[in-house]
Amino acid sequence: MICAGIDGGSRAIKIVLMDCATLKVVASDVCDQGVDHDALVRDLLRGLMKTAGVTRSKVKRVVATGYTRNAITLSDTTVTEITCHAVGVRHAVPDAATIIEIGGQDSKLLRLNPDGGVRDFAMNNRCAAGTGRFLEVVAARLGVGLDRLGALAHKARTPAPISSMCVVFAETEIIGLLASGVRPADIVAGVQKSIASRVAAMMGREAKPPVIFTGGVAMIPGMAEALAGTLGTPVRVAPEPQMTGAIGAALLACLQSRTT
Amino acid sequence: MLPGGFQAPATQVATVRSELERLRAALADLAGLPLGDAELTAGIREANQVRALLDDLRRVAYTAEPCPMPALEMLIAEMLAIHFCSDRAESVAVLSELRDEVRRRAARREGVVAAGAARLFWVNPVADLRVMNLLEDCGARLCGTEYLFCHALDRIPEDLPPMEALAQMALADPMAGPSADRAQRIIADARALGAEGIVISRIPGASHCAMEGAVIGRAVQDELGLPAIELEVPPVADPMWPTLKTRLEALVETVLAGRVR
Repeated sequence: MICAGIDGGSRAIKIVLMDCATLKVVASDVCDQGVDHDALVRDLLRGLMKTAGVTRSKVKRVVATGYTRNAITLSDTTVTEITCHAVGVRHAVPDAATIIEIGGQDSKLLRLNPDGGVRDFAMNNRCAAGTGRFLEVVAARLGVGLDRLGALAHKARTPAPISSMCVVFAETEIIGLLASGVRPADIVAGVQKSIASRVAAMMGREAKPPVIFTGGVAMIPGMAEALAGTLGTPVRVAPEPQMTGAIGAALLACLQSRTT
Repeated sequence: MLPGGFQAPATQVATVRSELERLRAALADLAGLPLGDAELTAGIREANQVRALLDDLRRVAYTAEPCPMPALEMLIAEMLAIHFCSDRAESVAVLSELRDEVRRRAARREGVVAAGAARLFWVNPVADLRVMNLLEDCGARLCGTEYLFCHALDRIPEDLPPMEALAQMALADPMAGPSADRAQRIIADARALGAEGIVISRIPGASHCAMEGAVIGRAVQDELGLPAIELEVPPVADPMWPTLKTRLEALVETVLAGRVR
């Protein structure tokens, strides 16, 4: 039996098809988010099923999560990304105690019970300064790709202090830093440190290890190191960090299909 | 020891009492009428009548299963604790009928949300009242509140000299003293009312204390082992609606998953 997990994030849509007998991912794919969330999901799922050789009737249950979860009409039910990331990460890292998830639009912190359930969680407020959007703005301003930010940060000598609490003001601050001759590498390192500081503030207390880093931003080199440095504890990147939410949704779909 | 379980040094109570005495003298002077202990005692008795009604209403509304009263209507009812003075008789009449209706619903097991909804304790009033409806839309119910005026819900001691009683009540105000003291009151109430999760809301730029959410949240997690979330609720919450909904839904999922475990 196959079930699907769909993570309709603010920046990307992720879909996973899972074999419920083995709990293994049969196929997965990602596309950029757009205006018509539902149509994009349908197109992505159609292509994924074709690639995997699965017909729609074989997909027994679909769970949607993420920012646009309520706009995904083909889902049987919705579950928040908090729960899905917890389930997805624990599936890959059974001893995970703390999860940091940074996506395109928000960042989350989850503390887990020893049995894997969510103990409590925190999310950033409206500001995008602790999210992937911040890195996108910086990359665009510096004229480099997101994938090169990590390499650039490794060349930093003195991370530039980024004090602005808002991405718009931070961009202005970065323009000022560039104009005053601060090296782009130091700016990138400063931005990564700034994001890590916001996550640490959200944590509010010591991060219980193992700390697992997931979400799209976890794929950007240098961020895990910045978080580890700020939190004072090792931070491991989850396997397939961008897909964790969709994997969690697919796992929950499999679980629900057994009980419904 | 103060009403509500708070504590304050006797010297502090004496200072507040002396300030209240100055206020009493000024009021009597302005009104041209005596404001003696007898008048104050009568006023305390009338205030306590409202508080007793609210106490009854809260006890039934927050403990009956299923929840017999919507969260928003309970917030408005509780607000009468600090706004009843302009029309005491009408306030008493409204609260009496509300209490009786809630008792009837509880007896008939009628609820405004499904039985078994996640029991959430709410801290601080919201700037956008619709968020109280959202709580129920997300599958939760109120099981207790601390809207920054719990001292206005506690009975004013009638066995003390009135100025002493009023001084003690003033110091039992959760806005006086550290957030840690307030957290202890919240923990005691949340425990007594069987809360499964705590929501600490904030009004951007207008919260009582910038750090209270962290202090209260941590204390609740440490002492009760309950999930606690902070919500920033602006006066017009429309732009925040998706994220508010996600947080409340996630809290409900966390509570319900905890029951299964």
